[in-house]
Amino acid sequence: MEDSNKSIGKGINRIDGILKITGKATYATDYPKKNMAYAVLFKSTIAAGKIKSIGSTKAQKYPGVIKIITHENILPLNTKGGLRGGALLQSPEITFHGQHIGIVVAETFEQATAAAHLITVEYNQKEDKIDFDNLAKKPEMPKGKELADLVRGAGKSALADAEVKIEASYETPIEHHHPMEPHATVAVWDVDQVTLYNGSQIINGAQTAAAATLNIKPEQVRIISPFIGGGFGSKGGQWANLVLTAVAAKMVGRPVKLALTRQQMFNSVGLRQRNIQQLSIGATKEGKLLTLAHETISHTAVDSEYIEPCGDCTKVMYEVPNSLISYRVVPMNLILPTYTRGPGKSTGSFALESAIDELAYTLKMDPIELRIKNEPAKDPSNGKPWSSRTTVKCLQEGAKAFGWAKRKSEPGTNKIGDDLIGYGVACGTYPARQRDSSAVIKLSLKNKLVYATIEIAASDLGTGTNTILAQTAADGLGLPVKQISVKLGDSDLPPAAGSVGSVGASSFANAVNDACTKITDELLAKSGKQFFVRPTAAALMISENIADFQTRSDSKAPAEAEKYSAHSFNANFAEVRVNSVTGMVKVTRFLAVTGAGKILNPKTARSQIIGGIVWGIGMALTEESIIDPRYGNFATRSFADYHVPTNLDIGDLDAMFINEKDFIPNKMGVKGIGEVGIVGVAAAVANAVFNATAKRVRSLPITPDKLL
Amino acid sequence: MRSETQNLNHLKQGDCTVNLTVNGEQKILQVQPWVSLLDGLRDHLNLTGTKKGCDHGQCGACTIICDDKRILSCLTLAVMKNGSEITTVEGIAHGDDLHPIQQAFIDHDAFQCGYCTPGQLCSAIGLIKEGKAQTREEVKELMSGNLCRCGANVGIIDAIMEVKAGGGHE
Repeated sequence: MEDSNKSIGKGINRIDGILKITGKATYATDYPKKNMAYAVLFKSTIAAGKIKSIGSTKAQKYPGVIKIITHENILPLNTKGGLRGGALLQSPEITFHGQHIGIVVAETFEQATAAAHLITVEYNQKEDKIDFDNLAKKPEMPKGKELADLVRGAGKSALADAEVKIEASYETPIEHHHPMEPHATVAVWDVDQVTLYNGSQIINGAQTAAAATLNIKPEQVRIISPFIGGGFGSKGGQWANLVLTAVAAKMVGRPVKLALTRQQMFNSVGLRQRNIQQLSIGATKEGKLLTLAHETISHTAVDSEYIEPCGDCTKVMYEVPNSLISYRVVPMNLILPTYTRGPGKSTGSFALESAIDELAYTLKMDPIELRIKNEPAKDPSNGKPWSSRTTVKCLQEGAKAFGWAKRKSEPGTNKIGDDLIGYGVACGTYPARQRDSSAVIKLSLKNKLVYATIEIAASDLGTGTNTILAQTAADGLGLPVKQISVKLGDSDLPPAAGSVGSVGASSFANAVNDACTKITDELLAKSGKQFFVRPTAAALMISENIADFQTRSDSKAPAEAEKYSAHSFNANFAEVRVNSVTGMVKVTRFLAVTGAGKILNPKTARSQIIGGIVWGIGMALTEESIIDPRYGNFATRSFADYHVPTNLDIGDLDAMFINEKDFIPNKMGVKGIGEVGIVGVAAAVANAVFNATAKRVRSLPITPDKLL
Repeated sequence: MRSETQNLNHLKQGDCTVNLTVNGEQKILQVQPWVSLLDGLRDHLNLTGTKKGCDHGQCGACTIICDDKRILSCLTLAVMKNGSEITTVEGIAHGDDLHPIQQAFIDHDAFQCGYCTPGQLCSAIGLIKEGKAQTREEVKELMSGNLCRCGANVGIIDAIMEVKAGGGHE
């Protein structure tokens, strides 16, 4: 039963919204500093080899230039300090096009930019690995243990006995995160302490990686990141530019600002890897799955291995006695891939949920019915019971709300004028986890009103962390939201998990909730009184006339959670119109139904899910980074070539939440929505395109040329 | 209307003096001729509300209102706008009274990270003033120069449609 006095569960406006609509929210480069110098990076123009010489005489003499930093004069850094992607100027080796090879520091941004263009570099070039199609013919075994072949039952060999088979290969391109705020840092040293203003999804992670790389202690580094202009994984692990700014500031003895250009974003801060996914499904004529194999070939970097695991959804989505999940990698001379929204699950679900759709058409069965028929009673990957599983509810409630019954089951038969109409469905999932986080609550009594300050080194990417923590504290302390202020985004605050992998809301809100319980307990003990009804912390501050009181709580996931498999689940419904003359696809309607436990704020949660849908539409229809095979750089290197969805591309999008109460994963019953929102979206669009056109496009993005 | 050549006379000098009225206040910029209006506002006048998303006129984050028109401040040199009247996100509200589009953005949750928001707001004000876009589809099209990577598009268009219809908090 909902308590109308509670703030949690109410769709209140963002508490930091006022700062964002008045220009007062401060992002990394919004900190004016006295005597600040500007740094600009220059980058390699080859993909593999070694720097022979760097000609910087002209640049040195350019007006305003303070210093030029290259591998020849940079301070020594620890290349294994926890930053991603190398490029720390510690050697002349080049492993990808666009690797940072130097920094120009000047009085102004314009002078640094102009001087960087005067630098000449000679290389000893060697043969590079950039031809994915060719290299993918002979992929390598991955080094990561978590990527070892996973075989259940008879694995893929059971395919031979199946009555119905689907064997298909799905391709997804390199994608880039492109948060609207390009990665940027302002570094300010005070003797041996450095303050780094830098958008960071993981505040403490940025702090420890920067410190280790700079060969100093974590307490000598302070990360300040109250607002982040989007990240989507690219500001999770930190990249060389963070520490190069700090080094530049140290070497010139002044505050330094270094902002990546949009062009530099393509080869500085990770990307979503390219994949070829082979799906093999064996089933009975009645639609019971017998075998499911998901074999992925992904590109990775030559000097370091990271891939998003595309087989993750396949491990848990369907009841099937025989299965194989495998990974092979193709090292390439490109920047290290990294976590990108719905890592592995968004790309993996495109392949899996397309293949399931193909099976449904082959069986002439409704794809919703086929999915429900293969619903697993427990987690097939580890045999653990589900903490709860909402897939069927998501499908059924979504089908009703979306009007699934209006779908024409025969593809290519729903035509209005030149437009072919199609409906598609696809499911998704993402694990629900709580990570260690600490929070401090400070209460004060002023003019008979109690005010609370929440302190936690959490981050708010725009997901609504500030707001949900204020709501959590409001309920936990017995205060209105307006008497609560939230301090986050600063490594001087109590340590917390990151806004990554859908762990933010559960980790931060549980930490704040635990701190509320603890401070109430402590105030009760301090009062020395017995109460019939447990008073709130706010009431105790007033009745005991306490001016100031504070406590800290360190929270962990409940031990019990380990015994269960806990996930958020969704079902995605797409309606597309495909122009039969131009091949243009328009997503006219989309509904995502999500079971993610307790929804702390339905308004910000809806926005987050809709954001995931927009990302999925971009993935399905427009986003693709193309490599120029002559040089190994990206031919697509601006927003003119890399197409993120615009306002005009977006149709009628909606999000619904299942009323789910699952307190196994954590006390608050919060399962996370950041990642799951994109999972299944591209498949739903692709399946709708098939329903509209009878053409199965197995390679993203679905551009008009693939339909004509 | 001033001619562009008149404004470009400053180029002959080293540091150029640019007189601007920004959010109702007289401001003097002393900048080199190649400093963009965006960098002039941010780095020289400390008006950091206006954002740099691409510096190439492709994302709209730097949109401001200049002489009653929405322009991309990254594609504009500061020296081109001597004598101009400029409104940035910091100047949209009148004191504590929010502009209706600001309140509508809050009500419709028309942003997440907030980085594109200053540009979206200025662009929306410019669009409404232009009076060209009438239907929702037209508004979407004429707001497509402003990218939002968080995917707040639905809220953005809802907010603009509400203000266009005279709803909200006039």
